[in-house]
Amino acid sequence: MIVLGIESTAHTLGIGVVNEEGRILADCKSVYVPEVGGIHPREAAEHHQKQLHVVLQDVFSETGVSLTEVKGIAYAQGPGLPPALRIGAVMARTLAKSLGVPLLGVNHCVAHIEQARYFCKAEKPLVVYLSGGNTQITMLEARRYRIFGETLDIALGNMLDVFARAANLTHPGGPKIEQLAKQAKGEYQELPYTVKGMDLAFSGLLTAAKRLLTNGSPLETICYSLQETSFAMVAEVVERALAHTGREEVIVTGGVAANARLREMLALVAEEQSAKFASVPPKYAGDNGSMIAYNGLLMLHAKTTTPLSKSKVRPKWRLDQIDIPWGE
Amino acid sequence: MPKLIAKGAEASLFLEDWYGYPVVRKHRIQKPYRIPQLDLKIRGERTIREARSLSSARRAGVATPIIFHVNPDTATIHMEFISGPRVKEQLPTLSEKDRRRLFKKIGKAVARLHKHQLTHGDLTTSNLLLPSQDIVYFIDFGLATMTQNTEDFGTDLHLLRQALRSTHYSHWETCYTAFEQGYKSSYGKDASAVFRKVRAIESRGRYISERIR
Repeated sequence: MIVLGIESTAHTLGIGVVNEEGRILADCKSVYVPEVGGIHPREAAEHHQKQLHVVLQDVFSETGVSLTEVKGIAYAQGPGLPPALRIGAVMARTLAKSLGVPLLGVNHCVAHIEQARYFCKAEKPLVVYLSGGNTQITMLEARRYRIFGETLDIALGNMLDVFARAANLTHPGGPKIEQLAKQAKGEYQELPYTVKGMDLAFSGLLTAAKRLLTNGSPLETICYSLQETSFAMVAEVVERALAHTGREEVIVTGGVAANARLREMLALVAEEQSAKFASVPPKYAGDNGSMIAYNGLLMLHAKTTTPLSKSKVRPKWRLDQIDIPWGE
Repeated sequence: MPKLIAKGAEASLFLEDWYGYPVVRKHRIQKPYRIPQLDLKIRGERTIREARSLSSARRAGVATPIIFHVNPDTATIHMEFISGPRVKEQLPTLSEKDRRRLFKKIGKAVARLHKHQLTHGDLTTSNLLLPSQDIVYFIDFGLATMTQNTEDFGTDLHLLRQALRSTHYSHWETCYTAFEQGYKSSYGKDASAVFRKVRAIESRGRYISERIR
């Protein structure tokens, strides 16, 4: 028995397959890269539409499994860009209907977190979810992800992406900022540090960093300062959340989790609070189809399938709105 | 020998003797995860901020520990030792009526802070102590600000609301409603502007479908 999952919330069109234990059998993707500027929702959708059959072919040639073994079709129902989401949803409905298997509408955020919990073998962790669209400190408690802290404006990954574009770094900007920061030799320029309880804000930091750029500060120095400041903010709220909740495990997931400096900082935070630390493998930090498939598997086990009438995409589907049947 | 009584996110608390008086030494310890430039600045600033705000809050009529000594260079504050459970642990043991009474009281106290242009900056049930049934002590003023901006008051309320929703999800609505009642009774009619701000702040968040006008 296998479950197939389709991810199409933003840049990435990903299709993955997991077996009944949750092991990944295939994880294929095609990523839309805008020619200029940020993501254009319609262009992303066009990209996904054109690439769907190519990626699906890859999945089957990679796994050698046949469609007849598929016992559920999972897709990212939200949150995300509506045109991009719809491509995955249409594909999922079509496949589910033609194969006669259940449709599984997955929340993209829950999928990131559940995949991280699977890899980290974490029972009751404090979850740090940092990506282009999300910045949340959350914990599963009584069938729901409870949000302890989050961004009050833009997401951490979004802040890094926008800065990278302003600095003419090509997509994806995060890894390039990380590389440049390493070459900075410790010169630090002060930037706004905004922490409100367990919440964060990044827009002031972004504006200030862009100003340094126009003032002609060396790019390496700005990248270093930007990373050190924003990651220290995250580290601080994570430590506060750990002290407040008393949880003994911390895990990190989302695209920004691929950053080694961030992981290093969070590991030190965990140590300060005598907690264990684990990160999702960098390969699976970003958006991928296998996380959707895995979440679909959990839903299938919990018997929470998505009827066709409720399969409409949900572009603003918040993490804390979802009942998690496997969260006791 | 100083005794470590608590290790918070930012600081370690030691129980010490101050000329025959039991005091807490709050030491903002160095954090290995952030670079020294940032670390020094944050610890020094927060120490001064906390000392100032603890005494401002007290002058505003909100119970806070008395300060004995402040040293921004070592990032330490000696303050009165308040013995009592945190609201965080106490809340689940209270009856519905007592919970309401408590949060009305907390609401009144926060309004008093705000009327004196002071925000707490980290209102969670971990930062409220209950040495007796009748008095709530406010601690941890490291993120406090002196402000006249409704946005900052709204942020204070949003933080408490979020902390209640996440930590005390079974009781959060009762507690927050009582808090608002208490807040309004002390802050006056302008309280509704602050409540509106809370909704505005939350609607700016990610994936909020309900925008307010």
